[in-house]
Amino acid sequence: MTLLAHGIGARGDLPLSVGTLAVVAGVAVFVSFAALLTGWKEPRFAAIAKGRSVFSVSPGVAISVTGITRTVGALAVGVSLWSALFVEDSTVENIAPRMVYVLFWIVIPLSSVVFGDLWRLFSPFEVIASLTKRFRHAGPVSKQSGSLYGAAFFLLLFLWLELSFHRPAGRTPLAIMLIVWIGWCSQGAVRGGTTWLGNNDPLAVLTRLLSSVSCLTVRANELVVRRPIVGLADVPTQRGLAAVVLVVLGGTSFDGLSRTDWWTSLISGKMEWTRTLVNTLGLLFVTALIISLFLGAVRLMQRKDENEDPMFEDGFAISLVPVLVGYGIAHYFSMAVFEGQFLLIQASDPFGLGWDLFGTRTDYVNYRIVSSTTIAAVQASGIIAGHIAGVVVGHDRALESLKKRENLAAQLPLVALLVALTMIALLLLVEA
Amino acid sequence: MKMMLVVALLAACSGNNSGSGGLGDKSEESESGHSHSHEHAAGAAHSLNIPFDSELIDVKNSVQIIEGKVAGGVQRVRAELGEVVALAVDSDSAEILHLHGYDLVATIEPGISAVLVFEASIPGIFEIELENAGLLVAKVEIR
Repeated sequence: MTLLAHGIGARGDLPLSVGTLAVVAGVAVFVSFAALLTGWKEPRFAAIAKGRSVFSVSPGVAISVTGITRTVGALAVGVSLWSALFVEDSTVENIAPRMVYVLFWIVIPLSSVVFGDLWRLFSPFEVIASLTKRFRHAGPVSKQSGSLYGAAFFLLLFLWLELSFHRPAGRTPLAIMLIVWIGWCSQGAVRGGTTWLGNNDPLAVLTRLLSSVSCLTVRANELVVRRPIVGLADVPTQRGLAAVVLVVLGGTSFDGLSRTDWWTSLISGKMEWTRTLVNTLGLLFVTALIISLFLGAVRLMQRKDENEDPMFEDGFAISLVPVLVGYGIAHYFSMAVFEGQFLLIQASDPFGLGWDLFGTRTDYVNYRIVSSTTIAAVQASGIIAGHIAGVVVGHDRALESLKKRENLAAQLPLVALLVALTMIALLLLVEA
Repeated sequence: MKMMLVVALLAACSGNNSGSGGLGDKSEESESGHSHSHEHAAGAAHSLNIPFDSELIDVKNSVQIIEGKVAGGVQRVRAELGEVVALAVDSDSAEILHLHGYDLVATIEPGISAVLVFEASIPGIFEIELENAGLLVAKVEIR
């Protein structure tokens, strides 16, 4: 039995100092308004979002490379499922909890921010999509399949399992989650191919969004280089885009809240399903709060602009993607570093059979590989960089989609929203 | 003289460890009683059931658990890196006390306090819980 969120991880980050809070908050507010006043008057990102190709490979090489990476991906998913089904129910013996909560949920999405969409490269479901391609109707993909609400729903379910359910690292809940995920993606890959996966595999949707911040992307066997964050302007505005971003932002915020003394005292002594109930209410409340803040700000902006675009809010959701990256780094950087080491130790003997595949079986987690000062610096920089990028991307999108683009006052609700989200993130880190 | 159960981790794990202080969460492991490669991490902790004069160690932090609740709510224990931390826990029911991260385990009996003594070698926040009840007792903040 363990009380920590995720069910794994023995160490929590130290609270940020009030001094750091003041500096970061001050910079955030200043930059927000300075960007608005001195910002450019024409949208810029869409024009440069395509980037330039620096490297291209033949289709044969591309197939070989993805063949290898997706086999590795299939092994990772397969080992997780096998362990969840058959290996002892323990976070030390069983690799499934760390595969799911560290590798799939933190390492792959956060690495995609730097290296581009890694799940596209490793997803075994893409193999199913390729192999069944010839059997699918060549008809046009219907617009209906372009909604991201399904992915948002599954992301919410996943976050509930991770943050609200009282036994997130138990092998039975993990096995059920993995079976549902594998089943959902496999049938969809057969029916709708790679397009369906990009819109419905929750992990694929998340990494696709996060990787649009990256300087690197792959397009038709070409490695494309572009400036950071401009790729967000190239993210298609789909129904449910805002829902995906808000659900993950809400979950990350609740994760922060659940580490405060206030919340741990609140759930102290509440066991099993009572605990699940309280944490479910907490997760839903925080998510609802984030959604209301976002919708309130964006609808106000829409009204000021007399804009009737039915997908107005989904268009502005991209400005929250850098904020989400910042939240993700601030909350999960240390967990990726420390629990990632544990994952490497476990990977040597994934089934508890006494193997030592990588010679790491008897290693220890080195808790001093990064200092607390470094962690705090990464947290503060993640939040501030995410905030600045969010303001810049939001400004660019406003110039693109607002009818009265010279009206800077119309952008104020968005700036206020971003400032509010950054303050919430910082306060939760100070109260950790 | 008062009976106390002392669990001490005065030296970090042996070897050329510039950094290794302990291992991750081993709570499930201790429940199942089964372990493989990671067991030597817990081997650094010694559980002693000895008559113990509380005057000898300056126990600055003490927590009382009454009827399944922590008196005064979840406690926060603060310590500097390198400091030797001593924390006494009293409970009116038998329990197992577990400090995560450092992986120290001590048994508590009614009337016999458990004292956790360890060198604060890993910075961060670590939770101390009652293993059976799953009750969070304290958060140890080491900086």
